[in-house]
Amino acid sequence: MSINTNNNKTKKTYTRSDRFKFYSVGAVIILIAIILLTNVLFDKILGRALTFDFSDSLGNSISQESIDFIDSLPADCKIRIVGLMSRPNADKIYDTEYQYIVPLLDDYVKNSSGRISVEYIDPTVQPTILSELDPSNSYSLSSYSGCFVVKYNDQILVVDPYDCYGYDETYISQGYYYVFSNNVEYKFTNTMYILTQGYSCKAYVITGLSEDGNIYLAKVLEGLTIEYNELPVSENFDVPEDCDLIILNGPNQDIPEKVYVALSEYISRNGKLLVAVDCSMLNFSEKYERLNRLLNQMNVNIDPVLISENDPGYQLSGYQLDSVVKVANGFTDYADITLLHNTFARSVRNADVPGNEYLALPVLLTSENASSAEIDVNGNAIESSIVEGRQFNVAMYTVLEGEDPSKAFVFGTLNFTSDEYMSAYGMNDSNVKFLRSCIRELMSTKQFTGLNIEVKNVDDFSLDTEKSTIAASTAVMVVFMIIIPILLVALAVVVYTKRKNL
Amino acid sequence: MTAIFKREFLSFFRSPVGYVAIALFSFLSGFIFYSQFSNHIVNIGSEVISLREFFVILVPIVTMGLLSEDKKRGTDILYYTTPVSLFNVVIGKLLAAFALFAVMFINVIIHIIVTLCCGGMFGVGAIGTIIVFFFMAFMFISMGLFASAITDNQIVSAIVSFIMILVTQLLSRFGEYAGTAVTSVLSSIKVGSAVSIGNGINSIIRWFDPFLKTQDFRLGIFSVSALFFLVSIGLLFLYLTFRVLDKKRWSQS
Amino acid sequence: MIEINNLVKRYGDKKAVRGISFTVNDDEVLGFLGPNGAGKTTTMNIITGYLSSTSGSVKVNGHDILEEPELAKKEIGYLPENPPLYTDMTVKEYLNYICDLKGVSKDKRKRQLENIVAMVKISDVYDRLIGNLSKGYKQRVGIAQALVGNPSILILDEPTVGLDPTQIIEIRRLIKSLAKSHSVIISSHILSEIQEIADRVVIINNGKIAAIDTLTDLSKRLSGQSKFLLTFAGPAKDIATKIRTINGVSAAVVRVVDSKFTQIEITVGSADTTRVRTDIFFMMASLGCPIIELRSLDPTLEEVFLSITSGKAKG
Repeated sequence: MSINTNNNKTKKTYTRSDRFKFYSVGAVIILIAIILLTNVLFDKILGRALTFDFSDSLGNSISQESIDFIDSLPADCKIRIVGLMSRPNADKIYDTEYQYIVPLLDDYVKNSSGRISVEYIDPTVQPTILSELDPSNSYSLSSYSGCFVVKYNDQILVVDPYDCYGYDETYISQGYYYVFSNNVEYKFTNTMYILTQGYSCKAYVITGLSEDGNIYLAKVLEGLTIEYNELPVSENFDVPEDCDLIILNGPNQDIPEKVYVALSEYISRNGKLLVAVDCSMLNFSEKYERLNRLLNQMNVNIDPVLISENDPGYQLSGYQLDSVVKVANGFTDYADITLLHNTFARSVRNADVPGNEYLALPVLLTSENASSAEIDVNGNAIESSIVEGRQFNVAMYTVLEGEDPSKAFVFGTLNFTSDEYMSAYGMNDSNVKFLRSCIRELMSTKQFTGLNIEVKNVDDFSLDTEKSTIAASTAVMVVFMIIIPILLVALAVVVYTKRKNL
Repeated sequence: MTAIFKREFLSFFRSPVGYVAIALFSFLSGFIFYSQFSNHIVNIGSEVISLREFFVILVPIVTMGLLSEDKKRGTDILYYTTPVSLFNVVIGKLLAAFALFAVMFINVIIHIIVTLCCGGMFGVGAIGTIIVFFFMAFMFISMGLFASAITDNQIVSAIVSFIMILVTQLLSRFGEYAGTAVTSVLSSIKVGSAVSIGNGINSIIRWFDPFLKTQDFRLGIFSVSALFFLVSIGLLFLYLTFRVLDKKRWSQS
Repeated sequence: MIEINNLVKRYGDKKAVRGISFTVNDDEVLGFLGPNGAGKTTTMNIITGYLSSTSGSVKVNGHDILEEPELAKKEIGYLPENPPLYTDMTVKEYLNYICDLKGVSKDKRKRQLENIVAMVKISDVYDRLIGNLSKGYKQRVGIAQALVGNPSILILDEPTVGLDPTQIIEIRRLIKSLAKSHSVIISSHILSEIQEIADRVVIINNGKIAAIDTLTDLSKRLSGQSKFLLTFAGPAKDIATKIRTINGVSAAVVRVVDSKFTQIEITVGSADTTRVRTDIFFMMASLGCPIIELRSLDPTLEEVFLSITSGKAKG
């Protein structure tokens, strides 16, 4: 009898404890399975749909402009983008040049309906990729490790990540790159445009006249699908036959006679010219006599005077040499605002050459209460040369009548073309937009389409330097690293000893 | 649940543990903030990301005693013999640790205010990293809670949670090593698709990496599925913790 | 009222509790006795819901501890062998926490705590840290903890262990006063304690119930015969033989003989001990031996306990 009941109990025993055991082990297994399954589903199916780009500048999404361009490509068009690296560990891309590139390229793929593919192939792992992309080895791609190769049909273009950003020139001069703007989309869409459509025209920028760099000007031109070329001043200087536009960007020396002759000849055959000169410490004694002789042929003259703005409404931060200029009638649709930024400007005026058929129009105007003065070698205004209470032109446009006429924009300031300005204010600045419009105007007789990709801002985490002084940062260190932790530890000691003796 | 939460949260401040954890967090965040501030560039997102690296130390400090101490003192009997459900006990403990992290985070909020006062930026990316910070805190705390449930020794619990969090933080690297190892083993025995198998293993392991999943938040790209992943892993460990506690009732060993 | 039915708890292959059944009535003090390792604590843990039984059921005021654990647990206040005290809290903080745990509403809490504190006499240590209290006070706080939430049943596992005699007396007095309005299950290895407090005793040995009854019935059940110790002045010889002749006396053994007194242990088989005692008195008087003392030697709980546990162990 007692043995029997024991047996029964043993059986019951197993039922209850096994029920608990099966239940809990089973519940855990089922939970793990559910979690895995839902996560995989979420990731693969809804992942994209439930991912939102909230970034301030939408830096990780391509703009409608790019989407429209991609949509305009034929459906069977295949653009292959190959990053010559293993895919950058997304964990580590923050604060590197790939931060904005990798996500954006993914967005290209997402929006291209198969026209664009992005791969990351490390040439050290798979060396064949280089000859596959560039069979003739005309680009020597092996030196472009870490760059992106954009391939369309048999043509390739290389995009260096460093070219995808705008840098602040003042920081570069101090020895480090301070990223100012995010040109990734600008760079890649334009690269694809150029690969698929070709350059619209060719511009030559004259170099070798102690000028500043042309990095940003080149970007602007490329954005307009104009091929950028440099034309160094030399003994046998000549304007190439295929030249569509000559640019003189901030020469601090006058042009040599040889150049003058060549350019005179160039404008006589319907040449287009963009000239920008300012009046700075580097050139205030330069009178640009030969340049003016050239410009006089187009009925324009750049005066060797420095303009100062006396109308407080025009001055920026109350500074006479740093002001706004008004966009003259006829050019107001070139930029979205009609007051543009201007610094250390020379006066540009109508040369009033008798019999000249060029029509010279003011483009940018000072207030009616500006003054000008010649500057002596020491940088002081020459009393006798001061002219006051007048309106000056800071830029002019001159054009001949005709079907494909010679024309020119002449700027008395470098605020539209210099690296210094564009690096400080970015490529979406109104001045830069204005410059683009000017170039479009000069090229208007060409079959000129081009794209208008906006440059994106990068997050600017810098502090107001007036507030983040050394004293302030010492205070930050003392308060956050010393006082607060020590106070907390002291509190811990107090609480501990107090409670210990309760 | 509120009873457990209240007691555990207050007990952080009745003993030096809470103060020390907050002091440590204050010092670390203060150091990061100061080094950014002295360069005149403050990216709160970077600060929060860097602070995430310290979960591996902070979470074990906070969670090590949560359940193991109860076992040691014998106070865990209260959870079984009073009309409070074990799951609520687990959740109350988790919330207490989570609230302590929220208190720690006041430091960062002060840093944000200082940054904004000094003309700095506090953007979407930083908000994204903060969101991820708290979701990750939830996940790691429930891991730590689990480690605390399986032992009655605080030190053992701290070591176990330290290892679990460390492994999670190094998951991508493990993935790479595992992938490479598998590839080399397979290719040495002449398996044709060695590279793709290795890469497959690598990507499977990396799929579990919560840091990889949430990295885009700092760029302002918010992904719901990544947060869902963090929450579900956290809930899994919570449930495991609950099961471990429950096991004590019916275990036959 | 607690109904315990066929409780079994296994640890691996070993059975700690093997089929225990008993009932605790309302407002009754039930003593729970057994040698170490007999399964006392395990049984109590099962009753309170800390452990789940391998089989069998526990019903607390009609609520099954496994099926309606929250309702059942509300009825029970449990003081485990090691009181579940947070040494880093003050008594006040701790009792308030217990109130939170047991869901005592805010408006009732103040009065209830006042009552409990007065009852267990801990008002003078109310704001002190539990870790700094003496063992006796810790035990009182443990009892206070069990009383929070007004449970109808108190389960006290070794409540006086490790206390000094004054403390033991105080705690016993406390338990006695609690017994007026609660059912109490008290386990102890101090038998006199159970003897003093308990209405009924459950003796378990080796995971099984060895005996369950009131104390007096237990003693009777054990022997079925009474014993007396007779101390008198006079010679031992012959008197023992003469006593044996008294009707109902089954044995008389000389225990002590010295110059003054002799002690004889008398075993009485008859139920009518009063008659036997009268007979002895008259016989001794007739023999001229003055009786110094005639003491009943009813078995103590210790004897009952030992004989039951050892007897069962043999069986």
